[in-house]
This record gives sequence, structure tokens and C-alpha cells, in this order.
Amino acid sequence: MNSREKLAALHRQVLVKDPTAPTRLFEALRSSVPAGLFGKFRGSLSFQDCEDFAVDAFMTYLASPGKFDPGRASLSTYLFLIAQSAILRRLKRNDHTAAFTRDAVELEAIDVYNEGDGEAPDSPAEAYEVAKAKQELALLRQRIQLTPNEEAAFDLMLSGERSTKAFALALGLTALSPDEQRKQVKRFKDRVGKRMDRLESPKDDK
Amino acid sequence: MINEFSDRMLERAARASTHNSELLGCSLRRLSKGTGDLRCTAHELGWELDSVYRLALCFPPRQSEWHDDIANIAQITKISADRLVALIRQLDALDALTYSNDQMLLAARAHYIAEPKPLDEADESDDSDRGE
Repeated sequence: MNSREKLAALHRQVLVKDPTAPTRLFEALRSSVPAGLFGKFRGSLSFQDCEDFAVDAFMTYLASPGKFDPGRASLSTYLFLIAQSAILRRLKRNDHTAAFTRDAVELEAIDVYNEGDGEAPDSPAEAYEVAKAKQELALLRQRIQLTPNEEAAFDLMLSGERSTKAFALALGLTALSPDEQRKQVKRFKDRVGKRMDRLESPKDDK
Repeated sequence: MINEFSDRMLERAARASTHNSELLGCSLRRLSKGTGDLRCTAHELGWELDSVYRLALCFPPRQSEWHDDIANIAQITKISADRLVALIRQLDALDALTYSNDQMLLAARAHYIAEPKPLDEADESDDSDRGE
């Protein structure tokens, strides 16, 4: 049984309220999640901060384990994303990052992911964060200036979709040859990427 | 003793568990003399801090698998099964008192929480069963 399967098994035990499952899960994740976070946020956070965010992510998961879909990601990835989302919020509050960055887009994507199963937020604070993230995403869309077809393709980007076919369908390119579809999809991604880069560093646009 | 956890991380998780009503940490908080601090609970019970922290992260034992669940919790927390059973029953009783509107029960709860003597009768010779 590999690590992902082991974590998925523990997750199933959490769902059936096996008493020791949370403790064993904590033990299984306690080193990998903080280490991953520290690898990404080394410049902004101490290792202890990363441990704290990892614990908070673990408790968020335990509050609503049903939100985790093992088919979409491993549990450690899921916790990493929850922690990363909280870290980005904090960094954003501290003005350590620009208002619209690629990281901010990742944050919104996580919220979209979490809302995918139709469950309501667990607390007013969480509801506020989701609403705020939605507003930011809406503003971001407005700034990037996408056509309706491009909006659909942009959603695919946020969800991590990689299939050219899916993008071609969203962009209405199915009549084109596969080669042409690939080119057009790449062009779309490059264009959106450049627009987001410009939003990231508005001071450079003099 | 081999400490499998970073104490700091475990402590933080246990502290957070007191706000999750599905975890034992929430019930254990009731034994903290109103401080909400699991260190007080550990002190009251006379158990090792790590054992109480690990226990706080557990779900309560399921009625349908009571014996197995108690045995598993005992193994992971290094607390003896007898002590665990006594504690779980005590926590159940406290929950019953907490969620009752009966004035007699509320008075009993006030008295009980003012003078928590959980498991004090547990035999003194059983120190080896305490969390390491």
C-alpha cells in the first residue's frame, strides 16, 4: 500500500468515526505537510509557522472530512492546498503580495474546489472568506477582459484541466484540426498568462 | 521514550480539538476547571500530557465496537483501558448534565465541575499504566 492509499484508507476510517483515525492521520501527515509548505514559503515563513498552518489545515479537514474527494487529490495535497490558502490570505493581509497574483488565483481555485460538492461553509468566517475570494475572482475576470468562451476556458485553467480537447471545446475550436486546436489553446493560455503578469506588476506599466 | 510527535504540533492540534464537538478534546475540556486548557485536564487526571493530547484527537468510542475501540484508543494513547472506560463514562455523564435543562441536573453539574475528582479513586499502584 503506497502513501496515498494509506492516507485514503485513514480518511475512510475518519468518515466512519474510527476513534484513533484522526490521531494516526495526524502522525502520518505531521512531517510531510509542514515540510512541503516550508519548501514553498521559506522566504516568508518560519518552519514553526508552517507547522501551525499544517495543524490548522488538519483541523479544517477534520471539521468536514466529507469535503475531501480522494479521487481528485491525495489527502496530503488537499491539506497542503488548505494550508497554502490560509498562508496566502495571511500574506495578502500583510501586504506581502500584490492584490492579484497567480497565488491569489490559486486561492480562488481552492475555494471553487471546496464549493464543488455543494456543502455550505461551516462558519460565518469561512463564508466571509469564500465570498471575499469570489469577489476577487470576479474582479480578476473583469480585469483580464475575457469573452464568454474564454471565461469557460479560464475556469478550466483554474480547475487544473490540462486536456487540449477540453479547452478546444470551451473555446469553440472543435472545427479546427488537432494541430490548430493545440496552437490556439496555447495562444489563449499565453495571452491570459501575460494579462495576469501585467496585473501582478502594475507598476511596471509606465 | 520515543516521542512520535513534535510536542508543539501535537499541543496545537489538541488545543484546536477542543473546538470540534466530534472529538474527545471537546469533552476533555470540561475537566479543565473552566480554563479550557488540556494541561489542566491532564493535571486533574494525573495523566501524561502527550497521552491526553493524543486522546483529545480521537473520536469517542462507537457503541457498536466499544471494546475494540477502547483497546485501540488505549494502545495509541498509552492509557490503560480501565482508566479510559471510567473517563469515557464520566465524560458521557458530564455531557448528559450539560445538555439537560433540569434544574437538579444543572445544580449537580455546577457542583461536579467545581470539584472535579475524575478517576482519583484509580489505584495508586497502577502508575505504570499512566501515559509515559
